[in-house]
Amino acid sequence: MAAKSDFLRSVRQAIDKGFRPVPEAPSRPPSRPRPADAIKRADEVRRQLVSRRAEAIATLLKMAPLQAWNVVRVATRVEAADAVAAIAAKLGAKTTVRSDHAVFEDTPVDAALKERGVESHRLTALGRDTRKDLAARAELGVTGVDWMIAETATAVLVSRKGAPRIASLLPPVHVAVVEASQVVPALGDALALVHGQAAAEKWDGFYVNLVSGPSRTGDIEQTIVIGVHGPGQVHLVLIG
Amino acid sequence: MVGVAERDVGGACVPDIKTAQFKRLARIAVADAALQRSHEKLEHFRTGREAMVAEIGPAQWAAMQDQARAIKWHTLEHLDTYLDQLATNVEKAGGHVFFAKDAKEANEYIVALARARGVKTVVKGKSMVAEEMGIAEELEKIGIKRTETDLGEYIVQLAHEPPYHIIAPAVHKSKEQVLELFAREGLDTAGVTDIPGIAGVARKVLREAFLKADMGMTGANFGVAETGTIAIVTNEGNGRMCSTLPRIHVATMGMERVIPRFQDLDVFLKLLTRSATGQRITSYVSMFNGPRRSDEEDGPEEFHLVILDNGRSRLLANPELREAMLCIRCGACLNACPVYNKVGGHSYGWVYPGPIGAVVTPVMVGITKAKDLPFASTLCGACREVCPLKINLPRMLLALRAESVQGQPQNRSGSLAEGAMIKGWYGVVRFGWGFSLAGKLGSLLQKPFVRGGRFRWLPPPLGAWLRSRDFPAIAAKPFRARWKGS
Repeated sequence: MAAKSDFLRSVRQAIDKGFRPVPEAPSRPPSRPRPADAIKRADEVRRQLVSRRAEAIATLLKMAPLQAWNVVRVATRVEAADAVAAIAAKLGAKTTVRSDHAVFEDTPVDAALKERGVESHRLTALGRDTRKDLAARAELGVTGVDWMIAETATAVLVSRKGAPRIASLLPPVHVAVVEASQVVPALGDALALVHGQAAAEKWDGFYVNLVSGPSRTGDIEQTIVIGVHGPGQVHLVLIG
Repeated sequence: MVGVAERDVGGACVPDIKTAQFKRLARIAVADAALQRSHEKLEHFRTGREAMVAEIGPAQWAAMQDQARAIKWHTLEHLDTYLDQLATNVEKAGGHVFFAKDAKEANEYIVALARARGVKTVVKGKSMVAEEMGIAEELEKIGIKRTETDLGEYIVQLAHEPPYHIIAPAVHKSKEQVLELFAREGLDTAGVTDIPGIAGVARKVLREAFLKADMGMTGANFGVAETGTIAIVTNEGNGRMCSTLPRIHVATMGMERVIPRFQDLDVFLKLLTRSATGQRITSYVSMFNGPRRSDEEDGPEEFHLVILDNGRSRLLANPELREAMLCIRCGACLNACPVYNKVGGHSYGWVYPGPIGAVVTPVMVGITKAKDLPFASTLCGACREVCPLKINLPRMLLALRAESVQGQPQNRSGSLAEGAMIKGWYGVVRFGWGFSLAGKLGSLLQKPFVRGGRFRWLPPPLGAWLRSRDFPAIAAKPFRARWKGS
């Protein structure tokens, strides 16, 4: 604790050594966390989503290929299950792991995969060690998303029960199943929505990943290589 | 006076500083043809950034810059309050926060933690602050196996070199060099000839390291005071691995990385990735503020955030130089700098190269140890032009130059003779007649030295000037005469 107060005191002393507010940032008091504001802002964003949705989906369909997503558009959750199975079959996958996102409820996704000879494992149903081993072995990880940002074709994945971090991380291919109602225009909207939910549900902490295409590197001679540590291939199944 | 020298080395505890050798290292780099070729690869970053600014539109880009600057200045005015807020919120989420005055304190904290938890292996994501601390060496000293997991960092780890560029650590290595390095280290490179193949070899080795590591380390691009959220940007996914698989996660963060509100991430992420690699957004942005939540099925059991001062409060206390605290470490100024593009990243002798390095390094390691760095610039202003925060780097480099020489002739970059000549030149040209007489005399006397419109040879010590520059011949008819004649 002494380390903290000494540290902050010396920061204060450094600031006080002639800090002159610059014209571009007039002096004002520091902001304080206000969960109520975060909730309100999220509500506002949510209210506007409906009227902005068609445009957002058009933007998403334009941006997704630029970010190297493979896009399939389907009409229903049932068709989405089929699309997932078709991707797995085309890859020649033997083992898939999936999350328990709401988009898979009441869908025949496991059956559709089995029909094509692909094992489907719900990560949540497994013990901790098996879960990691299977995810590391699987050829395909299938998840839903919390939100999908149109402007950068970014899947927003909040880690929680039924949605473990490794599902979209360890397998070499990731399939994200997205419902039209989850598409938001911009990064700012998604940040507001996640923050609002965290505040409303009083999350003690949160782990969020923004995923905007396959894993890539340019570290050798600035040559882009796809698929380093994360999935090298990503699919977006858009419902609606 | 900008007040750096008198405080000199104080506070900052930094390993392996070679900043005093700038001139020698630069000479070696300039003569290295392979290094010079590798610098051409930075073109990719420059064109990428320009395309992204064009896509957003210059007006919108400028508005984002102004917004970010205003947020950052405001944050600096209340830095202690926001750091406190950040720490409180990390602790609320179940994480631990350690405030480290210098690198030594930070290293001791992490080493003690690793010891107490019986850590045997550590996987590390890219973090300039970790480089600054030299934590890797400290962990190795107590027998912990440390693996860099960013491909570029992994390459420079194997080569036992520091990063060459803050965004592209191994940009100076050719694929042949990397292959040779991998083979020398006993990695299975059989049949591998191309870059995807090399990446595949690294993927295999590093995947194993991720799966069995006890501790994962990452940096912090931003720390949000309001929620305690640390945000990191990565493309490879190693940041996700380091913050997901090992049971302990340690993030290291420079104290200037704090921003007030969660919503502020919007503008900062947009500026950062576009300026750094010319991407709309990196493949991944990972955000965390503690260990795994109680209802989560995976993620670390423990989270520690180490916040580092290490000379930053000296920067903050300095009215001339505190603008450097706005920096978000995108590396755009390195790519744009004609000097960086010649001397490369290792000449600067410490972790932060390029124009931003030339400003922050003298403050952090002491100006007497880094007296040449502020002179490693042509003051062309390209760095300021591309800076997402519009930081006036040339102004600060000039201030540091003044600091470097004032009252300390031993720090002078040029010789005393050079100073005398400049004074003499001034004595002549301050009068119009002196200037035209000098011109006439010059155009007569220059004859033996000039060929093809420029000086080919000059007697020493003047000749030194021509080693890396062209000096055009003095025109037979002065400009003023031509102007009047037209």
